[in-house]
Amino acid sequence: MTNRIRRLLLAGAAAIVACPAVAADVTPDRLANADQEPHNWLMNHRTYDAQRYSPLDKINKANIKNLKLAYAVAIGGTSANENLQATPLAEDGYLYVVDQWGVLYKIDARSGDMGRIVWRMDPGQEKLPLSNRGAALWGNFVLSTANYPARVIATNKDNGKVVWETNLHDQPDVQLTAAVLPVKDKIIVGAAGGDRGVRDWIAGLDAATGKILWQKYTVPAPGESGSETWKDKNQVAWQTGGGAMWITGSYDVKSNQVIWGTGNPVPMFDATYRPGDNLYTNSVISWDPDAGKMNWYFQYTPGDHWDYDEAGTHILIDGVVNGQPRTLITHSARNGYLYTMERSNGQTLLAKPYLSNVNWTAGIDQKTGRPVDYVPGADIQLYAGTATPTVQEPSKKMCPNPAGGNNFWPAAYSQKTKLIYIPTLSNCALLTRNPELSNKAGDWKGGAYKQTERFETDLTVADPLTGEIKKSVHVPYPNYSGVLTTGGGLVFTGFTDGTFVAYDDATMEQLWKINVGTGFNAPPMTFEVNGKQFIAILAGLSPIARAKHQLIPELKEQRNQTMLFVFSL
Amino acid sequence: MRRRLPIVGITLVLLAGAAGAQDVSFGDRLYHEKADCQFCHGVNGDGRGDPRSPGKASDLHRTKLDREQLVEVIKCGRPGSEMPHFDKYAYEEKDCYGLSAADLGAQAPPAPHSTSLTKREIEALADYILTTYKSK
Repeated sequence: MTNRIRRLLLAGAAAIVACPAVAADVTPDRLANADQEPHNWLMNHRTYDAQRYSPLDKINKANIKNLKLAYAVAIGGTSANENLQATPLAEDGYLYVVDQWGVLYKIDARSGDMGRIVWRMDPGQEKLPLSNRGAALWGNFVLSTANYPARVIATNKDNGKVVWETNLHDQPDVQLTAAVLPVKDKIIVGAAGGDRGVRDWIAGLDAATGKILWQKYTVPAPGESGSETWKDKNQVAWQTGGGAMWITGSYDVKSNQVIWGTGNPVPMFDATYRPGDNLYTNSVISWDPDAGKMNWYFQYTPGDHWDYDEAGTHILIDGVVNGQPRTLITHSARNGYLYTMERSNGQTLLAKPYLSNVNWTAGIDQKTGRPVDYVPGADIQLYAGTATPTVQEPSKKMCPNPAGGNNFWPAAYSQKTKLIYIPTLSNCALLTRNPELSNKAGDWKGGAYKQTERFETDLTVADPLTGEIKKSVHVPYPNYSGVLTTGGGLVFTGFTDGTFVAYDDATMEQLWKINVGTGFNAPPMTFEVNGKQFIAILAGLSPIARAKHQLIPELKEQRNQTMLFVFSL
Repeated sequence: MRRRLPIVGITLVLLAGAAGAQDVSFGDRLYHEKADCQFCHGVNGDGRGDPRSPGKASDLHRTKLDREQLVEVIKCGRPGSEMPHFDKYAYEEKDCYGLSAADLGAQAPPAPHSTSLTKREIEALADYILTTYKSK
């Protein structure tokens, strides 16, 4: 061996050793300024404002026709009926994804033509049906959730070793399905499992150690503020009241408030079990992340009959209204209305329907944000009556159907067009209330709904400052994926039939599409490595999403695979 | 010859026992994985499936159905309910309840969200439910 060859080999070995160099810490400052790292996607919604807009523009309207599959990575594969709902994270050429079983993957995306799995952290979760919607980055940790028992886990970003694990399993059916939200030196965790009769909560953990610093329930106990809205005689409904926080919230750095939506009251279809408005379910709540104090709340559908859960994203936007600059929140609610409200106190600016067939209420009061047919103090709200089940008529046609409207598949706001792109389910359903199912044996359902129409999508574009619908594209398959908007003037989304599509953000003309043969119920994202832009999305449908194909005969034989697909020019 | 008889007998019992155990584990895998019955009927067969599964599945511990009836319900589903038919061709003609999909219209049971099953699988599933859940 000559000296030259020896030197080359040594240099090569040194390069290999140097390769897994300690990555830069994801500091609170980097997270607060995540928009300043356009090549990265550092948190679940990319930025604290939850806009899901990326300024990357190398893939754009002019060249999107050349987009092609760069590579794919098999994820999961350890059990049947798997699904993926997470948004991948990207930091400096590495991707972080989590599968249904809480298994965390670090993927080397630097080459641009393959995605090698660097390490996997398997939390040893029992293979019981549930979801996992993503990981988070803080310091040198990748933070993820796992269940049975419900846990938050910090994993060393470099080698995949668990640093700390905090058990949050305070109730038999509690689950953690949302990506956690790191804020300064804390991690904000929203609890799920509400539909199974869990009294849900939000908690703040010490990011360095995982120690629980505060924990606040979204359903008050008797005597606590809001408990007067749980009016059942026996005072038991609050114990299984729901109010899940199963989608990651947003955070306003300037005002230091975490904005987080809450889920439906439980039983989801039987308001008679839980008379009253049922605070703080179906609400948006502003929290002080340091102490867990509630700053303010706004409830969308008090005394819900329809599972109009509002855990979905609350997007922070700035805009000029009547000549005045405003800091606002916009939310495409599951109940079929687009709400825009003042960020400092939740005061409604507008609430306009984004679907044409909403039938549960005659409308929303533009000043109070309350349904116009809401009766203050009533035990049971009848609203418009059209969709409200009664003793005489327990079955009613309801629009939107119980899945929404818009749901956990996030809408996106474009900083280019200043418009919100809402993926909506456009069909109605037949709801039947059944109080015999308002107990544990009845799975706390309180009723059931039947598919009477094919599940389809209206991809609707609205102005969040006026509520005006600008465009709407109808697609004959359900959207359970969500939307990504980009600086290239593109709108990306996927459908349950396996079609992944790019639209022109101004005309909503379909510019590109591919069908990968397995459906999507995870949102798309984008990142850049070595100056090249990529679009990524996880595929693989949950049984809940697949059940929406009941009236779609051409998808009867569609199979399911859990994959990461990455596209580039 | 006489001495050998008990050994043959024991062997047969052991073989039968092994075959029985195998059948149940096959049915177990069908229930929890391939057919994904657990989505509606629950991991433990108690009818507590995913809260967002369609309809209200029955508690299999309290089922009154015998093997033949269980096989029929798995094969044909239950008209007017969300219980799907696991025989792919159940309603193409009149193999189930003497009715076709056209006869049943909106009352026709849906196809499963997971997959259809063969006759052998349906029987294994029925045996699993009888052995593991019924009256237990």
